[in-house]
Amino acid sequence: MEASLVILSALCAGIVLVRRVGRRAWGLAAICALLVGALWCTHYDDVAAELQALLPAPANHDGYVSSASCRSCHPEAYHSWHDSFHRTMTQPVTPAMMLADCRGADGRGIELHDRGHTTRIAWRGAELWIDTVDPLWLLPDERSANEPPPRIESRIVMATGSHHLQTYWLRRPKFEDDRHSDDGAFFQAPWSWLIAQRRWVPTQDTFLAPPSSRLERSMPWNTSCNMCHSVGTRPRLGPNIIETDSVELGIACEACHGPGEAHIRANESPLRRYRKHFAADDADPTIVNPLKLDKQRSAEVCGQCHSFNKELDMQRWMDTGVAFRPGDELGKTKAVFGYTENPTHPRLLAHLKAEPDALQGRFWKDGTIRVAGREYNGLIESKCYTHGEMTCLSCHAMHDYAEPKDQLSTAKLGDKSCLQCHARFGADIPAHTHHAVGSSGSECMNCHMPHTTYGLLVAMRSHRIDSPNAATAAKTGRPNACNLCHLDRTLAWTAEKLTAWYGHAPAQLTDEQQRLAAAVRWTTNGDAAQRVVAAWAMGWEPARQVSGVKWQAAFLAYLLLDPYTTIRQVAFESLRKAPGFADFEFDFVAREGDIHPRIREAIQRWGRAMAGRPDRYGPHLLLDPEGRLDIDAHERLLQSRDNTPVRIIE
Amino acid sequence: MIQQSKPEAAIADLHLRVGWWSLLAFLSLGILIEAMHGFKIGYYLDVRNETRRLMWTLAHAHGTLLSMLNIIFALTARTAASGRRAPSVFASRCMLGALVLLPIGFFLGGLFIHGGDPGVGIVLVPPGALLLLLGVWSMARATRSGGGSGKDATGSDG
Repeated sequence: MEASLVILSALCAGIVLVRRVGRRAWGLAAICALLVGALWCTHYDDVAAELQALLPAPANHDGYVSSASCRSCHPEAYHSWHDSFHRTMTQPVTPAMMLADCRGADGRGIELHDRGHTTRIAWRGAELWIDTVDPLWLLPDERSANEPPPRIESRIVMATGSHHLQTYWLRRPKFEDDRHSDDGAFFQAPWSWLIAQRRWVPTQDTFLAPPSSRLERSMPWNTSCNMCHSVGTRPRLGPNIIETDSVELGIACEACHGPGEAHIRANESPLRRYRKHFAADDADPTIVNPLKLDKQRSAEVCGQCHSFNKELDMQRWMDTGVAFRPGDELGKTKAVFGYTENPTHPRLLAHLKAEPDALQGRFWKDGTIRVAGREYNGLIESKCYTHGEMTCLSCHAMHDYAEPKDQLSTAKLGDKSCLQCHARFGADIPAHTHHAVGSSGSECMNCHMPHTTYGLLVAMRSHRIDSPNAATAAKTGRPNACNLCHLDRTLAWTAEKLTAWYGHAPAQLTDEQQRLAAAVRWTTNGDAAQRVVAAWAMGWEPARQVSGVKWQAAFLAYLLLDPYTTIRQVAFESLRKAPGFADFEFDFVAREGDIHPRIREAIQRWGRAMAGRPDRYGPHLLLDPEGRLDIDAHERLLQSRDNTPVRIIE
Repeated sequence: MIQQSKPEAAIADLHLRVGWWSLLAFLSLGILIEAMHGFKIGYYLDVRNETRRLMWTLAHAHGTLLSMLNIIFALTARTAASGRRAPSVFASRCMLGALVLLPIGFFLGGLFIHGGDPGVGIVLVPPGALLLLLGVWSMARATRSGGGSGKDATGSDG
């Protein structure tokens, strides 16, 4: 486009020249225009080539061909993939793809401060540069409290994410006096961009993790994220240089369909293609179609990334990349871990050495996965999978999807996913749900897939498909579906309903579980996982419709002082939906001293919203009929908070 | 006034008639295509119909250009008596065949598509292209300078 404009401008100049000099100038003008255009194109090619040189080297190995080769024969599939968040999981950084504001008010860049360190980010033409603390200094053996941290200035070359947040990867340059052999290593920038909130946040504050006053280390992209956020990446960490290469950045066709070279070669013949077009069975053994695999193999295609797993042979992965290919048995190349009290698997033990609380953080006490993006762990624990034929593609579609957020199949939206097997409930839905048809309580997923997994500053649906059970909730602390909607009800109320409706055995409940609304307990003395899930539910529209919209604000306001930054942010997002809080402002990563005045204002706003007109009250909510909070009881609950450190690292 | 032999005149008339009427038809197809753009018709514009869009664009382009080529053919035939050899019946048939097979092949290919592959109607395109090549080759030969006669119009000497 730019080249065309330049050529056009040069031609216009040529016409002027012709009018002044004569017809002989035509040839000269045309040559000039072509030269200028060619130079402009070359300039742009140089920019692209220069960025490409800093990225993992493109390499089509082991039969991979990249998505560009798929487009001409599968335009619809290509475009539906192109519109998905899978494609943009990893992208080269260019001005066109950038979601973050890197220019600042004066257009010269931004300066960010966190935990005593300053980071500057700015565009220089089409290049994004960062000036920050050397990420290698953050590695444990590099820390020294007495020395000022070394700084580096380097290019930001890759970005991850385009849905909830976008995070950035700098390529750390190798310096002359550098003892590290790290040329080619990509480190995460210490700041990320929250897309909906349109703001920068410290990257470490985007994870649910115990508060920390120091900068946390970032794993190099080469040995962590690439495994799932790109196709065919080989880390290849050499003794003096890192030679990471990749078939394609982002999650592309061959991540799910396997390497495509043999398929392309076979289908170069039009006769073969047209035989397939008109055959009753269009199965093609040269490529994997997850829809046509059996349920285990099909689910494992997604499970290669959407699970808590480790490569069995790490050295092989370092040298040749991920060994799993779609259609293979996942267990042969990767170990998928569930919750266990007594870990024995050597790869899990190795992981626990580096992250001792990895299992406690990722799983509820009943073994249900609670970190987002690991849905396969939930699926394989579900009866729909173990006793039925359910796979990921029973509900999701990677091409014919209704919207890119969840990629739910257009053919199976709403209850259709469940009713395709449980058709008997469809005839008389209220008889099964005890909720009116069309109400949120009548939707299958709201009861059987509650929002009890967490990641990226939101709660997401559990993919361990089960039924609400008060006894399990009481025993394990995993918030149950009923009370995530009926926030103003106690667990005893839920137990009573489940006994009456479904014949559950009476649950053994503590005095507190009987007396207090479940959401009040979770938000005040629950652990960090319970607090964040409950805080999110307080802003969930179906729960607000069922449980009222005012009373929760008091509990959300107190959560603004939570030690976990992410809980503060989630609570703030829910609080903004409460009456009188639409314009309330809060910086969840601000210093504690700056937070207190905001909480006082939140409490005042809540008081004005209630003002003798509480929408819910009672001792189970710690609210009197005037809407006043029982401060002493609330304080006692806060004092009994479960402060077990929780790390949910997606 | 230049007198034309009967066969040459008949060929010229035929190609003029066919050329202008087919030009009308394929320009109408172009207008239909533009209308589908204007009204954002998914059957033509959706990504899943990318192949149909390509095929019908090609049908429109080839049809229009071949119609014009047939008109040029007719005009060339009318100059046969001016000392150049007239186009042969063979060339005439080739040009007419190409006019039918090429755009119709592309159109039918776009009517029923299979992902990135056009429908089987596309099989009309290669013979159409061959006829076009033969027709143009025959025309090129016929327009060599040198004597011309009505004999050429019968195709008897190729």
